[in-house]
Amino acid sequence: MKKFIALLALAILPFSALAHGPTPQKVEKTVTIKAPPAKVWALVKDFGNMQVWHPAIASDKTEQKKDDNGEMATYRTLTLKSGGDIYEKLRSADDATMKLKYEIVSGVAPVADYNSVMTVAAGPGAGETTVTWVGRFYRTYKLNPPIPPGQDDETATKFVTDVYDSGLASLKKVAENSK
Amino acid sequence: MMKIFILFLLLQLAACTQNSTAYITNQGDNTVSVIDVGQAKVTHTIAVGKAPVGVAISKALHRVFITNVESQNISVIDTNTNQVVETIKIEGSPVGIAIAPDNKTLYVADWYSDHILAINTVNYNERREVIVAKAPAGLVVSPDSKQLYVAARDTNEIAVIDTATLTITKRITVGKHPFGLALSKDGNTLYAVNVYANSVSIINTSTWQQTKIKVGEHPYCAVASPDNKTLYVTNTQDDTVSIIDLNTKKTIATIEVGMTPEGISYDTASQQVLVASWGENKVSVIDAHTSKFKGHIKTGDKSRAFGLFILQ
Repeated sequence: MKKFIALLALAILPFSALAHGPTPQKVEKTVTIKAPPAKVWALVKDFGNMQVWHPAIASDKTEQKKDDNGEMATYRTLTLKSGGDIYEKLRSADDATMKLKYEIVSGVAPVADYNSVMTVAAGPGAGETTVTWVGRFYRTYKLNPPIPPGQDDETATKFVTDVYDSGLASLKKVAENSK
Repeated sequence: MMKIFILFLLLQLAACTQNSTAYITNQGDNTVSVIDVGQAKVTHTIAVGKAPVGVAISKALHRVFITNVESQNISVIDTNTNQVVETIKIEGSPVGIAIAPDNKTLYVADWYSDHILAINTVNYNERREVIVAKAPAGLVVSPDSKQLYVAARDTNEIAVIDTATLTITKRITVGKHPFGLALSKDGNTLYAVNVYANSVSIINTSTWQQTKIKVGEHPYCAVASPDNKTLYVTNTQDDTVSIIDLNTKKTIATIEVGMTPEGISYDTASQQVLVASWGENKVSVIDAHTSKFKGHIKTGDKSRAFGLFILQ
């Protein structure tokens, strides 16, 4: 029962609408792909089909709805293979600069106030593409220390690092092997 | 007599060409980069506490105060030697910091305990405190040292505090999630940066009339030019600085700077605006006359510099 309550608390905390903490964390990862930028960008910008290239995602469903400012925006629900959902908002997908910006609204990710940019660029070699994935986020615990395990900076950073590492390795494979 | 006159001239010249010094907090490697602004280079790197964020400087006291949010203390740097001479322990998590222009009181915002600490600069153990609201962020003090303004982030307001009695005399509702604050040199105009509203509130500090101006995505901090004609605002999620003409209240330029720009200050000596880039570990420099990007100065990991960070 105790474990159940702890799990419940963990599940509820990330949904909290409370503001973020004072120390933002950053994860930045890069991969070089032997495929043309346009092909890689087509995969990255397809906000409703992340399951095509990310191995942790079982399904991806998008919807259009008004955001907090009353403007129409695209949201997606990512259902993880390990269980649970992450609900995200598309901030922008710019074809000219090949930048995708999105944020996490709620979900099982042990992070708070997460926003991210994926950038696709040509190079370094001919016919190659470099993808950079940068995230800025906070731990979920929002009180003075001691910080409980599972709600600390290390947990948040490890989660995002794992998502980026596995995602970029798989994106490389998918882009290089698909027609 | 002539000799004395020449010496006087030389001293004047030295005073005019004196470079300013910027103190940049680097959250990721727990250091402060000391920058000779005129030479655009880092001259010292000082180890401080964990996850430093805020900066307050007293020229008269030769001190820089740095808030270390994760180690719950304040590093005191001697500006003559650029060494930490003292560490002030805080019960909570210090973020925002400002020193009164009369140099008597240091104000520290405790993020999680919702209060402001007023620390006597002669005796750091002599402290007063006032509860403000959830998540107090940016702080500024009026030129006469009589008013303290606090951005109460989670209640979307600015608290005006009488510094003699340390009581809240007024609360002004601004946009959603105010973080950084700035004052005009004469103290007549207060600027509050509304993070979630993507706007800046321009507030008259006598009539409390307020105008809001749209800026970029997730703005954090602002600084006004000494003549109060121009306002500079960092847009953390657009990687830009909005330059606003304060007469027309219109954005006249949007400058690309280093990724995730946070703290911003105006250097009067070089007529430049310095911006700490958290995302790219550097300081971006903007020429205040041309409103153009000038270059970068490499600093430490995750530069923030929240507060007035230039010794001038």
